[in-house]
Amino acid sequence: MIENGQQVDPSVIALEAKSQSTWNEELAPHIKLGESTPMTTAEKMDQKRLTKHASKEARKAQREQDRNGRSERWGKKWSSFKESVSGAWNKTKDVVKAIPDVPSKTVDFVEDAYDASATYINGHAVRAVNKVNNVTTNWGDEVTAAANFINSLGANLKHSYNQERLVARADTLKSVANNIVSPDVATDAGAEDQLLAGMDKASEIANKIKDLEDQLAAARAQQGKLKKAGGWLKKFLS
Amino acid sequence: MTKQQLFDGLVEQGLDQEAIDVVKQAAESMPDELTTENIQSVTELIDEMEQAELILERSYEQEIEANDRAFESIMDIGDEYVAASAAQTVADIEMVNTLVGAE
Repeated sequence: MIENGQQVDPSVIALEAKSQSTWNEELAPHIKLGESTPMTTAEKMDQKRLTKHASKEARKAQREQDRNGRSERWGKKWSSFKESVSGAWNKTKDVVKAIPDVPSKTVDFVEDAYDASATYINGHAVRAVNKVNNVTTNWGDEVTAAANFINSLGANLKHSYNQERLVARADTLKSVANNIVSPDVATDAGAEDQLLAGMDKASEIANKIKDLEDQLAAARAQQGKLKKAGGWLKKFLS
Repeated sequence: MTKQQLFDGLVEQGLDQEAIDVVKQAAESMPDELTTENIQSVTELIDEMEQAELILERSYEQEIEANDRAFESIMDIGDEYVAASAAQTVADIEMVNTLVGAE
């Protein structure tokens, strides 16, 4: 392997990388790392914490990047979806119309093909609707758990200002959970209609995320101000 | 430190009026010249409010993450559906073409 114009043994690079990142003496006691001192338990814990933090930050950055492209992705998916659902039969019909003299056998076949496709696509739509409902139900469960968590903390907090804010937030979360657990999808509608309704739900989710991000930014700003004010006051106590 | 100095100081630190009103309410029964105990009590109140904001932050983060997962899952389902129906349509068209060609 060539690095900076010099021939380098790949095993040396691998060993150096290990020593700089996740070296674990317990897992490989037979390998000695030159003059370096073995890490203490506290250092190992500290390193673990730093690694965990770095990984969390990386996930956060990835999510942020994903969110930035959400609207665009949704728009593309929506057009593609509508084309697929509404345009599928038209495409097949266009092909048939383009044939000047359609033999009777072909007409029968095309009709059969329509039926077969309808059954196939409808079956797929039903499965997709079930998946959407499962996803939203699970989401509802998570949000309910978050609301219960906030409720339990709110009861322990001393000041009514905090209690009111937290309990109000818990109520909002519960209400969101209830809306999601019972998606507004007519049970007697066709599978495709139900799937379209499920996709509408995704659009609502995208808008909801935008609102939540605004609220999160406001809570972060408020938390920062309170931290600053608390730090200022503590100077008078020392 | 006087109460007024406390309130002015909190404004200088950028605290919102809503939060300052809470501090004012808590400081109502305190003397104009605040004791160390009084300042300690206000500090604890502000710490508690900060803690509440952190809890709210976590709840928003949790809800956003759950929403993200739901959104991504639905997008994946949409992908599957679009691919399946498009594949079926293409297969139909190809079969019709083949049959017409054969007759």
